Amino acid sequence: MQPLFVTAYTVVTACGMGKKPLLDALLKQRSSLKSARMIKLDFLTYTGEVESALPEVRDDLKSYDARNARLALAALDCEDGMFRKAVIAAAARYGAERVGVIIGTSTSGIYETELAYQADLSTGMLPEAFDFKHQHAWVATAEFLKKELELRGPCYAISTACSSSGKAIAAGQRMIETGICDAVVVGGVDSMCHLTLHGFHSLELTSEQPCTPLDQDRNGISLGEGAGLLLLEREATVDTSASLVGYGESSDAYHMTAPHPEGAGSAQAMRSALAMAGLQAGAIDYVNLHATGTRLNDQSEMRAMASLFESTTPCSGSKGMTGHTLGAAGAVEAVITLLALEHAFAPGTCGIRHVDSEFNNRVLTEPVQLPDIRYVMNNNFGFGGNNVSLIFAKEATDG
Amino acid sequence: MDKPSLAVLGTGVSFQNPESALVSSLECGFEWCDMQTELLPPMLRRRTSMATKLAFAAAERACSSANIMPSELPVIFTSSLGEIGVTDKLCSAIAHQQLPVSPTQFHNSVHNTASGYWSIAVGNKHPAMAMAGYHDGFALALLEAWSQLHTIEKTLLLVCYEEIPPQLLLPGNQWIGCASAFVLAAEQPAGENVARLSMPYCDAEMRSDQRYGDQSPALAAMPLLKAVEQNVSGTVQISPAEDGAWFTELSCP
Repeated sequence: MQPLFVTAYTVVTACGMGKKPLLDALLKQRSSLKSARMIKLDFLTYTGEVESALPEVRDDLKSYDARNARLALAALDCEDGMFRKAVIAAAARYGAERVGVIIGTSTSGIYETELAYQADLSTGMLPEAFDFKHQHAWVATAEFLKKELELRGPCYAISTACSSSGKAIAAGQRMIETGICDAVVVGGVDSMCHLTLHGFHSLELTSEQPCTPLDQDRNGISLGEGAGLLLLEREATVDTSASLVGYGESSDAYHMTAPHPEGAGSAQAMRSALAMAGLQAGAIDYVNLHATGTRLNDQSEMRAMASLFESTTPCSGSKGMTGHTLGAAGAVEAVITLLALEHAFAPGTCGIRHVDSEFNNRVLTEPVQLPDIRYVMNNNFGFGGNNVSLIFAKEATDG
Repeated sequence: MDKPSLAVLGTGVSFQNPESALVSSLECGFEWCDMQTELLPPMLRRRTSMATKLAFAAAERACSSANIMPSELPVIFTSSLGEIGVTDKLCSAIAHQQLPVSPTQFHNSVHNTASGYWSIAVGNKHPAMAMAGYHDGFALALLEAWSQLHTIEKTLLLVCYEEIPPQLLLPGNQWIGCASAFVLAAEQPAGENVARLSMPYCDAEMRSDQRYGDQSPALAAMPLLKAVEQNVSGTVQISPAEDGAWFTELSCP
């Protein structure tokens, strides 16, 4: 494949607005999970909620105003608007019609629909500001970003549950390789909502404590919310610190919610990514696992890891810090691997006490320095047995 | 013609209410547009949504008309509202505090429900894309197909589907529940002469009176289905002209 340059990236999570607070949290291994607050629940669970005030959507795009749009807007404008500036520069270089937008989301603006239904129940009518098409239809956040950034290239959403934004990054690569675009804003956004909290609880997959992925006593997930955006470009810029060198996608063809017991589908996604990048498994310096914290998910993924990697390859999971951001997880965790490349370290696994002894790989309990880090892999797997694995490479900034 | 293109190996179509006046008014003339599907197991058939049933029926027909095993084809499913009926029921249950929600309904509310069940039902381990646009959703899925078929895939199945959304969410809508499916390939099969498509392109200035999109974004695929079926070469509009219109050039054998 044609390697593409990651010329800018940004993130908003429960850890804070931007890359800096996430990097700090990763280095200090500080969890942002707290008892759920935003939505009142009749059961106990921890969540990674974005607590800072989110920016307001501008007047001419008010119809798109939703928590998802605001999370996306925060990602554009945090840390001095660095990401927005990079997109504007790319649009100036290539032309706005040559810059696309592909955004992963699992639930889009369903939170606004939930609130609208509650209002309908109490007042007999939907709130005036509720706009289903521009807030909740699955393409809403992508379309909002396209308009906010005044881009004119192809724009669509990918919604394959928890692999959504990993797949959006892969799709962005194809758009550039085939000459349809020269740059693509890729990533994912998902907000807290009643549906996922109640849904995962009814599937008995939520933990009553902060989740502890990869731990021998792990007992479920903690949900999170956030936005992660990457700018993929055909050409490098002076700010380029990494490139996308491979991706792999597969289906389990096994079960809607349960992973394949041996991780056959996830192993296939990782194998395809390695083949596309032209790398042996031994070349990977760090793997950011999907590691949701449920018994079966982590076991399945670690069996897939063991079938491909030597026991020395460092790997860890991030959801004990941010919560599981669902459709945004692929992008948020891609940002974590990019931070690892840029700052020459591998994050630990927040919340872990005892690594499950069944796992044969080097699960990092704490961050480690990796001065020679070169290639990192990021895994994400979703409902429907939908798998994606990405490989990024460090680009020498001094040329 | 040496220009890069996609070969159309098979097509399929299904309608939620094939006998309705709205569907007749489309004058499609398609045969076999009902909801028959062999691949959806009976237990799932009772539990899945109209959207998933529509997608299965069209997808199954496209595979059989292309004479290709469904398990061999990577898939792209596109729908602007996906499982909106299930989502509506869940949001309503939550508003009424009817908790806990049904776990089955919850996992059947994800946008990739249809593509997920499809991969399980046919034993397909290839990549499965579930995407969404709105009026231009079909055109963008064709663009996604183009990009896959010129990079990582040789053949794939594209399914564009939409069930009728609840009136509360889209008041006054007169959508027609329907699905269309295409088996597409990068290369013309040896010894066969099939219809070919150019890369979809957007003409931002172009406006036309194509009205399908008002009745359901999935109807945007119908002019192309019709042209392939009737063997008519030429420019085919594949999205209504909301924010510019999308087109493809069809070359029939």
